Amino acid sequence: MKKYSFSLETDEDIIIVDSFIDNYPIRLAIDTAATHTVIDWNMLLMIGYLPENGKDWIELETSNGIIKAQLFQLNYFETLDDKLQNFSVLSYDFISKGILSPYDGILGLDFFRGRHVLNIDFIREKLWIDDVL
Amino acid sequence: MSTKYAIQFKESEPQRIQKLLDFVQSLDFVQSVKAFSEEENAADTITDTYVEGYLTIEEIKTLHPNEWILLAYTHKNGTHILGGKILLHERDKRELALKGKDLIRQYPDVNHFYTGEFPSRQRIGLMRRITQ
Repeated sequence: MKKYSFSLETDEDIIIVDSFIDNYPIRLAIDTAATHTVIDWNMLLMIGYLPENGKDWIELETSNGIIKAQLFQLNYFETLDDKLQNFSVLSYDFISKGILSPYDGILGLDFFRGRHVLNIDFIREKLWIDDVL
Repeated sequence: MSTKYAIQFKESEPQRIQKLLDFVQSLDFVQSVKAFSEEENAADTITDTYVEGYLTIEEIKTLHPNEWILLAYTHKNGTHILGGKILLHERDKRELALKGKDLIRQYPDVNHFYTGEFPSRQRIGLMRRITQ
């Protein structure tokens, strides 16, 4: 299995992993406190998804309050060596919520649940997922 | 996606170099190691740094402070962007998204990033779906 490096040099650093939507690279922060994977709507817009491609609107409880996010089914999603078709994500406009961040979204529990064993070595700053169960 | 690097040694020391290459190849994040002869120039294979208009990340930050950048021919080390050729630079991420839409399919190794500092301690946190 492939191991990925991360760096937690400062107490503000988080774990960011390279990911791909329809082969375009984005950066996602791993957040096991998030039930769902969420992508900045501006990124989906750039990759070619439009609001009319989206599905239901769903309310999300966030640290910024309750916000509405739209459900999108991605043609192709790749992260941590796992390649998925028709993976569903939630999306909202980070800009309108005043979010300026080095990542384009968060990788939530729905990616890992029932699918992966997630290993995070905080000493060596490596993470990897074991083979799909 | 992977990044290619070319290393040029000062002099020919086949034994020491081979040991180093063996070590590099043994690392779990290295996909492959290839040696090139003088006739077989690595630049033919590793073209990215020879792209016209290629800039390092430091040069880009100096030229376009506090802007969103869309890069092609991006060189990366892990998740860190080292440089590339600027396709777009915008103050606003939305503008970058709208204008970059077509460009991202026209160039290889396209990436985006922000040249400014991010506000400290800003987190999205807890994305819990509460209704459906």
